[in-house]
Amino acid sequence: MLRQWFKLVALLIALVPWPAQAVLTIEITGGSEAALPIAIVPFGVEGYAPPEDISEIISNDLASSGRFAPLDKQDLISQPHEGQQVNFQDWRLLRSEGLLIGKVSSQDGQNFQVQFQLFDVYKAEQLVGKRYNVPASGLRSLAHQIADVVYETLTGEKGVFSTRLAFVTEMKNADGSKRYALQVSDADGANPRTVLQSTQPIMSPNWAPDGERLAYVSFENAKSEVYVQELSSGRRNSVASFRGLNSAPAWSPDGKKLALTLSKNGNPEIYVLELASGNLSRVTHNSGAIDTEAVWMPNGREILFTSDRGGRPQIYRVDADGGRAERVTFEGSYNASADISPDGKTMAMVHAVNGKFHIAIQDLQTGAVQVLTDTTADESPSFAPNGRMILYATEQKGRGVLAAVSVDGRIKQRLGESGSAVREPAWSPFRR
Amino acid sequence: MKFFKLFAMVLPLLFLAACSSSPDKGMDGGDVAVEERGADTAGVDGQGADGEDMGAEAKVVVGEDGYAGNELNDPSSPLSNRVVYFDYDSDVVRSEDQETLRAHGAYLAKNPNLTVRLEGHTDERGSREYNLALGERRALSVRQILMLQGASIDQFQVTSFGEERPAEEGSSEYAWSQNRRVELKYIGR
Amino acid sequence: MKKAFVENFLAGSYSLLLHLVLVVLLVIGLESTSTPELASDPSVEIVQATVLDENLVEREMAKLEEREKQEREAEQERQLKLEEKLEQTQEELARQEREYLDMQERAELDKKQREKEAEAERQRIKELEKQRELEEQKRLEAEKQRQLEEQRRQEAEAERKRIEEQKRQAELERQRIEEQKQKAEAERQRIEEEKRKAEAERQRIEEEKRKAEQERKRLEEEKRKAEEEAKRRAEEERQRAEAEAKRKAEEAAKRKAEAERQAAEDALQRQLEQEQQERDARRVQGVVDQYSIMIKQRVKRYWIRPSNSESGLQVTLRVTLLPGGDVKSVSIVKSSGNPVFDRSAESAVYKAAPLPQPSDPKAAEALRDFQFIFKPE
Repeated sequence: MLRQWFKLVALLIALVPWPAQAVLTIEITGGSEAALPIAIVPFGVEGYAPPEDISEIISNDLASSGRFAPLDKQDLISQPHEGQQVNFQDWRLLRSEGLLIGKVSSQDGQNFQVQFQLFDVYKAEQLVGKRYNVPASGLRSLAHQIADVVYETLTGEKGVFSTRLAFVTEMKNADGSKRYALQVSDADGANPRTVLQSTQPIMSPNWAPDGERLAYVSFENAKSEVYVQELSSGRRNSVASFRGLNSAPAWSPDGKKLALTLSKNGNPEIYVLELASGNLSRVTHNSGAIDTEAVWMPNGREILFTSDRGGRPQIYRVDADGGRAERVTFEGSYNASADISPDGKTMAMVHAVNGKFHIAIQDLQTGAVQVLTDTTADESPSFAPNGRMILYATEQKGRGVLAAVSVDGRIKQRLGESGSAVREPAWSPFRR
Repeated sequence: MKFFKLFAMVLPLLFLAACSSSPDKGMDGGDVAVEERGADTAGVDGQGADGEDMGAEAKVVVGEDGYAGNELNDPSSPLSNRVVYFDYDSDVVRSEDQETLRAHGAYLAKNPNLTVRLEGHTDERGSREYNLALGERRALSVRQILMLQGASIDQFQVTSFGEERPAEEGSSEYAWSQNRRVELKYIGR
Repeated sequence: MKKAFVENFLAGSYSLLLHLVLVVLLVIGLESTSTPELASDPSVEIVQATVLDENLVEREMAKLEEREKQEREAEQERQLKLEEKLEQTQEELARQEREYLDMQERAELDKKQREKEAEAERQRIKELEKQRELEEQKRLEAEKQRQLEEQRRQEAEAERKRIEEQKRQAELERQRIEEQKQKAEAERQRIEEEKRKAEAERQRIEEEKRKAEQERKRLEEEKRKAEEEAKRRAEEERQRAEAEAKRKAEEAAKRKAEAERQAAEDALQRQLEQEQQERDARRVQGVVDQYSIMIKQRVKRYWIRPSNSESGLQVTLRVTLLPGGDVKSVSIVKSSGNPVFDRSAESAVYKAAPLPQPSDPKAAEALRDFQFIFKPE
């Protein structure tokens, strides 16, 4: 009886919420932004083998983001394909935070059922799981989609693996003449398809915010002109073919306007073309300098552009309505080809140091510049729609190639592998 | 359900792919092949369009009227030199090219019916759009000198290819020096 | 010798043969004449005899048992009726005394009677002797007279004869008297015997009386002794209780003193302990601080936070550890509102396990249940 009393009292004491200061509190600040270890188990196959290695595509996608560090295949302790086969302790030993498993099955080799499950290894719980039915041709696209789900689940941000890239290729014909193409590929550079071919150079593809149209510069009329082409139909319009330069198109965030570089008045200046009306308004007024490479700030009110009004190319900011431009870059003697992160906080640019051209980012608030690449002929930076990666062109063995770097500079990778020289990449917005 | 959604998405694309036979669409007189297929479908149109060969100087140089005449074709004449070169990121015509350009300017002034096309180029370094503008600026520099000799502004077509059409492939100093240039191309009226 | 043996052997053999023949004949005869009744009769008798014997024994046994039982009961009764018997005995004694007195009285009366009769006899014998003397005188005188020469002799003879007769008669008389005397003596002896018997009886009664008295006395003694014993015990008990009370009082006093001493000692001890605890606490705090930093650094190393973490994010986790430093539980006390951020912190704790644990048990205890606050800046 007395003992029970004591028990009760002890229980009550235990239940009393002790004041917060009674509990030791350890504050953890900082932490790293290292890649998240994730175990991606090769998907099980039932019936016909799929033409694509789905888990491999997912693994490459996630690794390419720089946010994930997929475990080496040989480190995978076991190969579960379904939830009940998972022994979480195994994966904890590998310090893997996430575990992705799945399987692909097909009765006819034409249609495939794909399922996946993503687990939090430490909490031993499923975070997300889905099942799909796709034709064989949809497997690659589905793999990217799954990668997006995994990415978004584990980072809280949208993945970009289902987005696309546009870029220009150059090929030599047998007679030594050249062929140019505007191409669109998957976000990993795979699966490229040509949307425009020309014997004349093509330049500066730029995605409309809807992801359905591209603006670009074509020299097909022996001079630079700006076109807008609808991808699904192939229909295109010349939107700027003024005397002089017609180049550097940039879609406004609302998709209704294009900022352009025109030299119709004798000097390259920034203009804004209202697509519906064809109204053209001049933004910059500096006859002694090159003003080009406009890019809209996400707020749609300001434009960043490259100008050598200070003597050397630097990046400036100006209201889209015009007015006085203010210089943005001060570090180094050459900063050009700005692109702006979706959140408007970070600017990517080509930054030259001792005549070597690198991709760099600048914090627009602090002005801090961080050089992300160590290659020397980098150009055309383009933010991924989630702002985590920057796509750019560089040279490898004298030939143009595409590459991407994470905004923290940790991850760099080559994209695509085609026989042609590749340049001027542009990362699409998210699909709508 | 997801299957149906996806299927519903994929089906029309497949349909499109099946229907389109990638016709070449020349628009505005240009010779450009446009890939009409949906972006989601694979397949590259192998047919190249025959573009107007702007780069073939020899063709352009051969004027149709007699003004071009022998003087232009005389290898000993300064007029035979129709390319001027620039320093890096510069639009300033070098002194050694001044004589050449004066001769061209004088020639143009003497032959007001002649038109010359000034094509500015840059080396590959730096941004393409900037280089495009830089090429134009070089061409304009050249035009300025030519006009100082009496040529009329109507006699010029100014264009820039930036770094898009290098004269010399490669990333050597030599190639760059050869690519930083303005080409003068006489065309008939 | 040998010859004798042979002769004996032969004689024995003949005898044996003869016996055999007789036996065979007898057996045949018996077989032909025997009846079941003949065989059964003796057995019946034996059985009956046995039954009788057994009954006898049983009865004897019963008797014995009964006797034993009776004896036991008698003993019990004797025990139980000791007082009663004592009383009875006393009553009996009184009765016997009365009887004895009656008997004595009667004996006295008999004796007097007999003495009177003996006296009367003696008187009568004297009388008779006087008569005889007188008659003798007369006969003598007559004899004298007859005999005065002859007659006297005859007379004397006759007289002698008569005297002899008388003498014989007297002898007879004497014998009878002697007999009576003997009888009286026997009577006296009998009375004497009775008297002795009465005396013996009296003595026995006396003895019993004495024994009863003794018994009474013994009982009384026992009673007294029991009383004394009880008294002694009570006294002892009282003394013991007194001693106990005293001892207890002393002990209480001692305890109180001890308690006071202990209290003083405890107070000192507490003070020392408090000081020690304060020192310990400082030391433990030092260890805890040190290990907090180690834990912090270890967890920090494993914390892969979402790289877009806004600076305002902050999650508070409650963590309990197992003795080895392995994570027992992680719970979110206050979420950052960003599940990915929260998860990154939780995973960091799990991944960092086992967390550094001090060997000092107190410090380890403090580090077994604590909170983490994770924030990017």
